[in-house]
Amino acid sequence: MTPTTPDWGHPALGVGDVFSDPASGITIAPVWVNGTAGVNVTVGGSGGATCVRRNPAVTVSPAQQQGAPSTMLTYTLSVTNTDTGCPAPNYTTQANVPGDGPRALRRCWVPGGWDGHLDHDAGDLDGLRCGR
Amino acid sequence: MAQLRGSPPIATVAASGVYVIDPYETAAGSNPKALKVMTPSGNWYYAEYRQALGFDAENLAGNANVTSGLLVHLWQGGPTTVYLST
Repeated sequence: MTPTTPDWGHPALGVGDVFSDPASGITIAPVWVNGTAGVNVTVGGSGGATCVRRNPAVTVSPAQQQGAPSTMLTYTLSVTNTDTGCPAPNYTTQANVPGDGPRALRRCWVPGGWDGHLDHDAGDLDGLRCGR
Repeated sequence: MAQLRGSPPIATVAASGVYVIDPYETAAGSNPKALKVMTPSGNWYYAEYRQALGFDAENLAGNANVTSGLLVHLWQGGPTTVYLST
């Protein structure tokens, strides 16, 4: 890279690109750019953290239930963060209840290596919990 | 070209790591709006994420060159910064 005159026409640094200053040992690289930007910064050539984004592991338990109308059916949604070396992601989940339209569940911050459990009670959203 | 305005929260990076920043034009949130990293010679690198929002809505409309990634620029003293191209 070469310093240039200020110009909006210069392309931004995309995901997969790395700005590197060998003289100072500083590198700057976007890890993701989507609503927010994750920026991997290496200072002094120390290597820094390597952030790898992966799709979370998602399970629903039980997979299937039956019940009479107005019967409360409880499902547990488990979201496991499989990222490594990244800041905690913010997962947003949504339950689609037949005949009742989509319902947004609350957000849950899930640090790497932890599991986030969003317990969704299809009949009563007050039963929602978020924890590890 | 839009310049830095006001006093947005700019985080000083002193250690290697992955940092999250919000679009520069959005209201103050939990994340900083930009990062700055000092070089051994006392200059500063700035990294920011600009989107066609708010005061940049007109400047950056349709300008994916800017909005599709991270802007990195260098401040060497004085009133202006130097943008770095890829």
